[in-house]
Amino acid sequence: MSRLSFSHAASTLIALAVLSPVAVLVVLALGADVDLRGETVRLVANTLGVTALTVVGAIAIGVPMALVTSHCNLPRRRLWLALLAAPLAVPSYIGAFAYFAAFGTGGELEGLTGVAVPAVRGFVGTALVMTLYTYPFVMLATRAALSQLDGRTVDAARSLGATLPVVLFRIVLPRVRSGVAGGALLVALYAMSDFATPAILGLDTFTRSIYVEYNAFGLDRAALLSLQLLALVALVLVLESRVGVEREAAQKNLELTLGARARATFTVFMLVVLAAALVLPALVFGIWLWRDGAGDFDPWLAWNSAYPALLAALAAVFVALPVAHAAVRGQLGRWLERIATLGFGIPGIVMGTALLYVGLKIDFLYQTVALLVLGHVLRFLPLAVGPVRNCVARLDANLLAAARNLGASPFEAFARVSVPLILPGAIAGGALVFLEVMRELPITLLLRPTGLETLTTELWQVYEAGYFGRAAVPGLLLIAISAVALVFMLSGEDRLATRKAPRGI
Amino acid sequence: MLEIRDLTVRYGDRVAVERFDLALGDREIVTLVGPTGCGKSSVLRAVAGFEPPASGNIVIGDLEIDRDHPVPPEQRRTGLVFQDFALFPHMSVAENIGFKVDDKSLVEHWIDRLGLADHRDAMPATLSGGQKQRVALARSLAHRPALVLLDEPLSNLDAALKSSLRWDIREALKTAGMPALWVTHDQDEALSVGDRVAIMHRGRLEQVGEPEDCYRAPQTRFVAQFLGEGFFVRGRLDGDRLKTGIGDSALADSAAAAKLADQGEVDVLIRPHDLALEIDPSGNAAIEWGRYEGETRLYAIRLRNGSRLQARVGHDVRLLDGQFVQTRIAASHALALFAPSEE
Repeated sequence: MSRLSFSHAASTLIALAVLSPVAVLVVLALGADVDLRGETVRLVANTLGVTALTVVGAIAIGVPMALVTSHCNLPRRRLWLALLAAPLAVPSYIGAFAYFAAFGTGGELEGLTGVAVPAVRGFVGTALVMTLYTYPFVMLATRAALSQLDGRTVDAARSLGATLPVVLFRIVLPRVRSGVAGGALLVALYAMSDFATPAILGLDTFTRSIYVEYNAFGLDRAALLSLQLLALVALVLVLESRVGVEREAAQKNLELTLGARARATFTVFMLVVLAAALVLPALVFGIWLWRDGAGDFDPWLAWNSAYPALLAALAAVFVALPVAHAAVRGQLGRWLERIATLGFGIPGIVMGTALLYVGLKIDFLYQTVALLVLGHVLRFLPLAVGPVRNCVARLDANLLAAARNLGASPFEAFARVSVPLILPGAIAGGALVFLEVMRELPITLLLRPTGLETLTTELWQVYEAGYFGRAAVPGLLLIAISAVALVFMLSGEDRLATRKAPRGI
Repeated sequence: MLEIRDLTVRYGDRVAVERFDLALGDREIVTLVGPTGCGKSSVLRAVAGFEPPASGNIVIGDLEIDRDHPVPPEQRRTGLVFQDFALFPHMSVAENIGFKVDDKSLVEHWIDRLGLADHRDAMPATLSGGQKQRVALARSLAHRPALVLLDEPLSNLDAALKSSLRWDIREALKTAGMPALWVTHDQDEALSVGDRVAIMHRGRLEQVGEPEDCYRAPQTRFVAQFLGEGFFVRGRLDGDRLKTGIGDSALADSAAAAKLADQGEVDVLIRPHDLALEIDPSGNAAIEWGRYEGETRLYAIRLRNGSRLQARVGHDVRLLDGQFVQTRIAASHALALFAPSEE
């Protein structure tokens, strides 16, 4: 029973690998002989400002949606919930691109209706688009917190003479504060890290400026900006780790009864949100397909997206195994897991910048798919670790002991007990990584070998070149991949729920 | 069938089992009982091959195992029934039971025998605790072990199920003629299902013997108090009689008495049902409290010399708090004696 096992050693290596991009950036930034003070102030103001506005917007949409879809007398709540969660799966560049192309003078909406509509650009535009694709974070976190609430307190308040709004603001919302805060911090993390939305809609945030510096061969300046952005991200991560979860033993579910007018208002509200987040992008890309056809589409783009994603998925699962193994085996392993999964907090553009420099220094990695895959693995490892760890945790040491006791050799016990138990988690984790990498933009943009164009980089090139029509097929394909990812994530949640509650007798 | 000789098991510096000896007859069920952490599960894991012995040896049938001659678990044929059942969650009931069984009629036999026919294709997660326990037992038995090892098989089940399942397991083992070492921390379970009982304390074997002997004639104070409620009363040996402040009694086993004779004074083990109470205003004790138990009543009494005892009497003996009673030893059997404690 050695406490420090192979998996601890492997996890330590992996944790170091995840931290190495930060070290690389520090080295790179130390060489930067530049004065960024004025620019930094502007970037901090823009980044924090747009983040704050996005958080406010996400709370304004997410909290009411959580209440309405889970605790009010509305028909088909489960369907509404799934639809309202869907924008989470839509990559930000799809939304940003669609809004960029649809609004403003000469935009698709004007062409369609003949009515002039204002452009969605800059500070407000970026916040608006980000809000549309991040409010599900708040909605889902609030929903989780609400499900812990004991509905009897509401009955008690009503019986003491409180009206519905009073109950809502004095009894319900104060108790889900930390849930809302948890969701809001995820929104903040996303808003700070997102590259495509500010880049397309023309707001100078850290992510956009890093890319601009990279393009201008100012890698040291890009590194410096990356570190500054990482400092902001670290702040959010620290805050997030401090948000506690209060648990109440819910004896009875919270149920709020709405009048007919309130129900109608909320239904319209939900339809507007869905139209803005899902229907409009699908419509824009659909119009382009109808107008320009699919003739120019190069099928190799799909393959170029798929095979690095497949490699990244395999590598991530392979790496996740020792991390998960160590994590279910005590405190040290849990810390290593936490470090090894920090990559999710590193914005893609920052990860790309760091590894680009690694590629410049290490010849055999320069311009290779291996470097691209490494970037994806470091960033998306947490997606694989989660499901793999859940399965490894089920693999109790006693199960292997039982197999041995019944006469199985160590190899047979591994093949007949360990492998079948870990495989579902490995497949689920691998699929999540695969789908995520397929849709990833900034790392792919920075690290792809010359000539390797993927669906996402094609979309980016089309945006930069202005031939919007050619975006139709890649865009719709990416929307379809996102839909698959969404179904997959939702069904995974269901499977987990049924496993937790076996039909006891 | 099983012989454990001078077994010591260590975890690092901590000694879990020390110089433990136990032999198991061909069709015998021995319960191994002791408080949590006494090392009983370590004995089981050492026999099954999951803990290497630090010293001593283990003989299972023809296999002789010691530190220098280890035998991997899969060759020992010890049917270990785990406390948490350890059913393979990805296999159905029938697949679990038939894990390494070539002769499928054995699987069918134990599915029928343990009443699992309706659940043969069920997955473990959908079973109740009692059903899981039956599957675990069937799985062990279907693999034709040389002996069965049960690690607290009932501790994860609720009370109502425990008492019935206890008999079902014993019955199944007896019909199969299977020797078994049954670990438990529940003394009632140990006394009722074991042909013999072995009591462990702090890694050591305190006593092994038939349940009645261990209960009536415990060899150590630990065994006396672990196997049931009991109190010690100071007494004096006088010829073939035992004299105490609450009456006389015939002597216990003369061997123990002879050993203690030169001490003059002894401590006598009194269990609550060894006492009789009679209302007597000038009696030797007063009632502190009483508790109705249905068939019986339990009274806490305080002797005039200040010591406290408990007496369990028939439900028709109704006494009030503060009432004076005459307390006397009413046991028909000889009482267990111990060297007087230094107080």
